[in-house]
Amino acid sequence: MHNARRRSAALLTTLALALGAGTATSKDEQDVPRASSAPQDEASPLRDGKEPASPDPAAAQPPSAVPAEIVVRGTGWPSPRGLGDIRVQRDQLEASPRQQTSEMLSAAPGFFVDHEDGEGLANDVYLRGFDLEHGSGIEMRMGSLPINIPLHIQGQGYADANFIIPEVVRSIRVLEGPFDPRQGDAAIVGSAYFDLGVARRGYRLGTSYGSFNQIRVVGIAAPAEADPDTFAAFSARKTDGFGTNRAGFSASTNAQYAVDLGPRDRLRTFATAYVAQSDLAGVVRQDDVDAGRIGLYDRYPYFAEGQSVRSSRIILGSTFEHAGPRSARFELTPWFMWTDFRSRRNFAGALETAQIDPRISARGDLFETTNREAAVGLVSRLRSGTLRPSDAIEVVTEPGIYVRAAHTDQTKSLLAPSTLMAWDRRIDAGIFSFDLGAYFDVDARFFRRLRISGGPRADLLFIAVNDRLVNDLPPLPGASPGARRNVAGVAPGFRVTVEYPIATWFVPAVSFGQGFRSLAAEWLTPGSKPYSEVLSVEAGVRWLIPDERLTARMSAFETRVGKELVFEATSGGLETQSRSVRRGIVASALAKPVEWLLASTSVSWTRAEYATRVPGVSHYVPNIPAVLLRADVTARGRVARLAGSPLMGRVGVGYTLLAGRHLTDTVMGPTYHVVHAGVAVRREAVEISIDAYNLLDSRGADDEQVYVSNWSLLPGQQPASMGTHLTAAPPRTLLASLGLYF
Amino acid sequence: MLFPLGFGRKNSVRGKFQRRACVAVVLAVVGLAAGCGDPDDDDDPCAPDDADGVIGGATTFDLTFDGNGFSQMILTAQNSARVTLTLRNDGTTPHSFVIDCIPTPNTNGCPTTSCFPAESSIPPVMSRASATAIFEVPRAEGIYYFHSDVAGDTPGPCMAGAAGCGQFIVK
Repeated sequence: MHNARRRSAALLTTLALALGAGTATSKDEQDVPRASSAPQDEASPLRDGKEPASPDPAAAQPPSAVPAEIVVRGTGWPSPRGLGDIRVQRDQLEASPRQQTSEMLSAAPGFFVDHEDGEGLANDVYLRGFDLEHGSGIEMRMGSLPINIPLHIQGQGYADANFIIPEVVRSIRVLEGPFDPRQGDAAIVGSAYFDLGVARRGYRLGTSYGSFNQIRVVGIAAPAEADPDTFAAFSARKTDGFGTNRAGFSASTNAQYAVDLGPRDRLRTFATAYVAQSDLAGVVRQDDVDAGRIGLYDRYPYFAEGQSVRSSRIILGSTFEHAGPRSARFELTPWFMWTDFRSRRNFAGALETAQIDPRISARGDLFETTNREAAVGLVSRLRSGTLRPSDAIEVVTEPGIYVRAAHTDQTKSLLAPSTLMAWDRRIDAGIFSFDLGAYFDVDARFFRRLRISGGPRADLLFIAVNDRLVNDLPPLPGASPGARRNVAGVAPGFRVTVEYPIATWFVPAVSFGQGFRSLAAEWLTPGSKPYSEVLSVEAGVRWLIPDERLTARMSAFETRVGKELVFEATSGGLETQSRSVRRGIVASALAKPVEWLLASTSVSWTRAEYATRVPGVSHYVPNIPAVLLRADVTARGRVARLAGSPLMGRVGVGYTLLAGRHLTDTVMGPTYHVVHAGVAVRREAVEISIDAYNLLDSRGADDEQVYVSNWSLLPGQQPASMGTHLTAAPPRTLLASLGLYF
Repeated sequence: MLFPLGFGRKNSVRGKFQRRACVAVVLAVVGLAAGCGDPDDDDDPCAPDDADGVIGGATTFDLTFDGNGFSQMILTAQNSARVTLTLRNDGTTPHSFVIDCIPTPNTNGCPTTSCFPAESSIPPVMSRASATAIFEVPRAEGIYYFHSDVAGDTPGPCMAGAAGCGQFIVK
C-alpha cells in the first residue's frame, strides 16, 4: 500500500509539474522537469533482472470523482536554459564504462573528462573550447550543495566530484553556458548538477578486481521501506597504478536521508566523508621517450621523486522544501564543507631560484601546494506558483540567494625531492572569502509558445588576504604593500534564453549570459576586481521526434573570458592571465529507436585563442581539441532464460576522438582514439560484468604541454631545453566485477 | 508520417511563418558560425608570441661570480617581468654580466633578433664588490644565454653548452 501510494504521488507529481507549472511542457525527456522522488531508471545497469512488470493497478485506476489535493514534492526543474541544458539519465550515464564519477560527465554532449593520473586530483574537463584544469570553470553541485572551491590554490573553482559514489548518481543535469541566473561562481562554461538517489531499492554489495592490482568494493543500503531518496553507501578503491610510482587509494561514504515532515514539507539531509591519496610519476619528455631513454609510464630519477597528492573532504547539508499552492515552492539549504588538499608535483626538473633567499637554486622544482578550507553556506529560493495575468501570459518567478563564507589557508613551497624539506616559499596566506549572491528569475510564456526565461544576478564578493610572506618576497609591480589586503566587488550579470517552438519537434533558441569566476587570491590587489567576467551567447535548434526516439541539438556559441587560468609548469600549477575567446559549434543526438537500444553521439568544433596583454598578440589556447567526437551505444535486455529465470544482458561501447590540439601555435598534438567497452549479465540477485578501458590500448598522453625543462637521467642541474612533456594516460585496463543484490 | 505537425501544408499563414522563422534561425546559426572566422587578421605580425599565456610578475636573482663561474647557471622569469638582479664578485678579477640576443628569424621584415634591454647588463664588477641591475624581460620567449664578457671569461657570444655560459629562460 505504501508503495502504491508513493507511485501515485509520483505520478501526480509528474503530472503536476508538467501541467501545473505551466511553463514546462517539453516532451524532451532530458529537459522535462522531474520530481526527485519519482521513480527513476534503475541504478543497476540491468534493472531488476526480471520481466517487465504489469502496470500497477493502483496507478492505473481512474481518478476519483472527488477532487483530491495534489501535493507536489521534490525538486521541480526550471525550463531549459539554452540548448545545452540537458538532463543525462542513468541509462545514458552507464551506456559505456566510466570509472570515476567525474567521468560520467562525458556522457553529456560536448563534454570530455579525462582520467587523472592519480586518486585525489580533480579531473580535467573539456567543454566548449575550454580545458578546465581540475574542473575549475564548471560549477558543480550535488543537489543544492556546492562542490566547487572558488579560491583553491590549484585553480579558482576547483571541483572534485569523485567523492560521490558513481552507483548513487541518479542523473546529472548539465548546463552548457552561463544562461541561468541560478549559476554562481565558477560557471564560466557551464554547470553540472548531480542528482543522488538509489532507485532500485534494497541492498547491494559489489567488488571489482583487475589490471594493476586494482581492487574496489562498494556497498549500498537503500531499504525498500525507506524514502526513495534515502540511502547509505560506501566505496573503497586501491591500485598499484599503471606504471612507476602511481599507487593510490580512495575511500568514500555517502549517506542521504529524506523524510516527509508533513503533507507539504520535506527534509533531505546529506553527509559525506572522503579521502584519497596517490603517488604521482610526473611528466616525461617526448624526446626522451622517442629516443628510448625513458618509458612513457616511467619516472625520472632524482628531481621527480616525492610527487604525490592527497585530498579529503567532509560535507554536511540539509534541504528543507515546502510545497505551496499552484506549484509554489520554498527551499532552504544550509551546508558545511571542510576540505584539505596537498599536492607535490614537479613539472620542469630544476630551474627555480629561491625568492626568499635568491642565492639558493637548483634544488628541484617540486612544488608543494596545500589548501585547507572550512566553509559554510546557505542556498534559498522561493518559486512562485504559475501566475496568469492574462490568457496569453503565464509567468513563474523565483528569487533566490546564495551565501558562502570560508576561511582558507594556502601555501606553496618548493621542496627538495629527496628529503621533502622546503627550500623556498612562494605563498603562505590566510584568506577569508564571502560571497553573497542574489538572483531573480522569471520564466514567462506568451501565447503558449514564446518562452523567455532568465533574469539578473549579482554577487557581492569580499576577500581578505593575510599574506604571511609579504616581507619576504619581491612585490608584484603595482601591488600595494602590506600583509593584509581587502578586496571587494560586485559581479553583476544577466542571463536570458528565448525559445520559440515552431513545432513541437523543432525548437529554435537563443541564449545570452554573463558569468563570473573568482580570481586567485595571490593576484588580488586593493581596488582590483576579485573576479573575471564571462560573456557567452549561443543560438541553435533542438529537434525532437515523438516518443523520444530521437533528440538532436545543434548550436553555435561564442564565449569571451576576461581573465584566464593557464597551466604554468615552472610555477607549479595554474596562473591567471588576460582575456580569451572561444567560438564553435556543438551538435548532438540521442536516439532510442527501440526500448533495448540507446545511442548517443556528439561532436564539437571549437577554436580557442588568447588575447594576451601584449598588444596584437592572439594565439591558440594550448591543449584544446579543435574537434571532439563522442559516441556511446548500449544495448540491454533479456538474452536467455536460465533455470526458469531471465538472464539479462548489457553491452556498451564508448568512443572518443580528440583531434586538432594545438600544443603551441606551431606544434600540433596527435589525434587520439579511445574506446571503452563493457559487458554484463545478471540473473536474479547476481551480476557479473567485465569492463575494458582504453580497449585499443592507445599509448597516449592524458596531458601534453610544450615548455622548457631540464629533466635528465643524470644527477644535478642540467642545461634546459624546450620540449614536449607528456603525462601518460592509462593503458588498457580490465576490470571484472561481481555484484550481489538482496 | 514522421513529422505530422503541418510543416508540409502549403499556402497557410502559419506555414509561411514557420518557414520564415526556420530561415531566420538557420541564418542566425550560420551567422554565428561565420563569426568563427580567423581573428588573426588583426594581429601585428611582428608581435612576439606567448606560449604559456602568462606575462609579467617580479623576480629577484642574487648571483655570485667566483673563480669557477656564476653561482647559478639557469635563471627563469616571465616575459615582461620586472627583474632585480644582483651580481657579487667573489673572484679576484673583475667580472660582468651580459645577456646575448636570440634570433627571431622571419621573412616579413620584422626584427630578426630579440634582446634584453641595455640596463640588464652589468659592467665589470671589481673583486668583493657587487652591482644591481633592474630591468624588464623582453617579450619574446626562449632561452637566452648570459655570461661575463670580460677578457678571460667568455668575451664573445655564447654557444649552447659553452663553458661559463648560463641560461636565462624567458617563459
